[in-house]
Amino acid sequence: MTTEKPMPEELQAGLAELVARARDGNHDAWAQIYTQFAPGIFRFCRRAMPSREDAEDATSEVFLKVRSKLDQYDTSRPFNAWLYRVAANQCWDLLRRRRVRQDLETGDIESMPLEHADPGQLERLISEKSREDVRKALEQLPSRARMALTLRYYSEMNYDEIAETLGVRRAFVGVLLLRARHQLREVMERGAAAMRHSVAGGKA
Amino acid sequence: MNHFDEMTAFLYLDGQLEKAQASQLLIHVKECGECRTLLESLKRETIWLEQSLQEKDPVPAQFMAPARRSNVRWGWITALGIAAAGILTVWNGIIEPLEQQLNQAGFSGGNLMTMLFFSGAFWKGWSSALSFVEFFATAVVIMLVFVALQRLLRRSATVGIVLVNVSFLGLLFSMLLIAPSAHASKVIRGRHLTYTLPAGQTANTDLFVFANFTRIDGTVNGDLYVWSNEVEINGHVTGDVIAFSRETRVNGTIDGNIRSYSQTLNINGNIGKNVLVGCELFEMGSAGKVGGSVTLGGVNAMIAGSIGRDITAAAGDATLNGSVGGEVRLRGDNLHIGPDANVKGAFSYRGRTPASVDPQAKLSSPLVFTQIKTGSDYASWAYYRHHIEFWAAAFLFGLVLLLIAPRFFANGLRASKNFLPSIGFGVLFLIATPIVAAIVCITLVGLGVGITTFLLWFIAVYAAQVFVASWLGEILLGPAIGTGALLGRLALGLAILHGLEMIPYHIGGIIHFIVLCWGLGAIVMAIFGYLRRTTSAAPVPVVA
Repeated sequence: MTTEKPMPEELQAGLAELVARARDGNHDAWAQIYTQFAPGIFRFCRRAMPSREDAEDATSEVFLKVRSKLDQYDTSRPFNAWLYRVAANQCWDLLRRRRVRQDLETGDIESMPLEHADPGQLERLISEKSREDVRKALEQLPSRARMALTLRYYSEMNYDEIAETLGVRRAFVGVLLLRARHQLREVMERGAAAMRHSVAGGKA
Repeated sequence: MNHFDEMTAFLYLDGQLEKAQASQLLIHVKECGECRTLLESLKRETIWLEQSLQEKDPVPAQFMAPARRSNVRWGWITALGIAAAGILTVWNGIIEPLEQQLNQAGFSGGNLMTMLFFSGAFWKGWSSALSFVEFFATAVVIMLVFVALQRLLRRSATVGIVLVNVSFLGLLFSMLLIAPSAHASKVIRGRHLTYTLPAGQTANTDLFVFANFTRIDGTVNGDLYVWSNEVEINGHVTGDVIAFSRETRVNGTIDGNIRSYSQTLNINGNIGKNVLVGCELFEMGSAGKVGGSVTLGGVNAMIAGSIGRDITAAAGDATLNGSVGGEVRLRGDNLHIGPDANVKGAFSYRGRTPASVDPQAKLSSPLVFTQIKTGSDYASWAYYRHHIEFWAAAFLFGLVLLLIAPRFFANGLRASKNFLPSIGFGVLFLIATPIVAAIVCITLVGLGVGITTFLLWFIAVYAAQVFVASWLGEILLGPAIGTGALLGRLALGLAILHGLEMIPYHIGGIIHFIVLCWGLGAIVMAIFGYLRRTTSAAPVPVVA
């Protein structure tokens, strides 16, 4: 996460110490880490997963995983970047396990022509729709589109990191992101049903 | 120069364009208002998305508060301790007595599984069906079905597990039922048919009869399996009789056992081995003779004639007026012992009212009567010990459930937070499931599925308390992070629930019922919720 806002140095040092203590089984240290990161991780999962229940499950599982994997964490790297990586992988695993035919999406979207952008429409959406509307629309997107937008605009991951997390070629990340933005616009404009239709039609 | 497409503009903004291409774009944008607008709109959209996604919207309490002390160590130590106690309780309280009783009822064989499945009268086909080829073929078929089901159902693990289990048990049961037909056997079917095996005729096979009325006047040289409205056996069956019927009358001779699930079972003939019966009315006339023991559960039991070994029975009203070679263990509301009664072994009776004993009756040892008290005996230590044991058993169950299916456990726990819908679903499924299972059981093919449904229903009813208890524990100690912490909460919650259930004047009973419905509903909702989420996880099917 190269674009992640840098953390003040003393905070970073404090965090490293906290992590070290948590590794040694210090419960208070772990509690502090949890308090500091759980809200952010929950929000991440909330964006990445299609429902609140899924997000709650995912968040709990992320922390269980982090706790058990704390030994594997390379202390020379920023802790929060690692944490978000674990979260991203966990969410993506959960989504993939549901087999939502992502395997089919790759080829389809890559070859799908992008309709021309309408700046007027975009401006109108930006001024009319609330941030909550955006998040609600996000829920309606296909798993991978939703995940890509979350990784990029919530976690601020770069293209390499997104490609690695989602298991796609780096060159495809831009297409994936722009396509996802188109789908999001579509959902906000016309609702999920319309987009489903257009995606299905676009494929044919 | 041509306009840039949206993709190029987008990649430029994300810093993904080659230098040359980027500077070309910059030059073009300076001249072209249209492309400038596009670029600005895209940029604004990016900021808009970042702001929307990064907005600090509310987060559930469990992710805001620091994780409470997770008590991993004491949680696990308690877990192990209670689990050990639980195993002991389950073993001493349920499995061992059950095994003993079933042994007495003629199911020999050491362990429970063999006893349930293979050493009863249901399994006669070992010698023939288990020839290597048949066994191999059957195993391959089962494995294929398994693999197919797994593939099909990988999406929804919960339903998958349930369905795979149901089908496996279904298969097993059908194997058990079909296997004897690999043996020499004959199947007779017919909805309105009256089947009669006339006197003087001999069927040298195992006989399967599905008929409205079945009458055996001749000889069956094998086992008789019968599903019938009425069954009358006047002739001779050299093997066992398994009867599902409204009314079964035995006037003839059965050399083996009779196992009957009938409304009425009437014995005036001669049974060589044991009788196992679940019925409304069990009537054994003075001409009736049973070589082995009688195990029965019913509403009314009238026993005359002679029984070679023991009687183990639970019946509302029982009358004993015959001879018993072994012990009598009875549980019921009322017992009358008639003048012709002659019991050689010990006689114990647990009932609501003392037995009325005819002075002519011969009992070789005095009748041991235990009064069943309405309500609970708060003064006795055993009462509390029982509650502690039940608590331990429930905890053990919860522990196993949590370890085997942690996700299901979490879903059930979450569902239990929706109190009213849980109760609603719980009441519905509490009542509806056994009815449906009973209906399914009527058909032969559905028997396995029906019995499995019953089993799962029992398990779910028992599991209900686990979810409510965990919920209660979390209310008191805060949300749990980690298995150890959850176990601690479960133990506490169960202890409180069991405490509450001890409240007298039916309040404890009412609490028990509410907990049962609530937890059962939570289980149902967890399963439904999982299905719903799994199916709705694909809002955009790519292939239309």
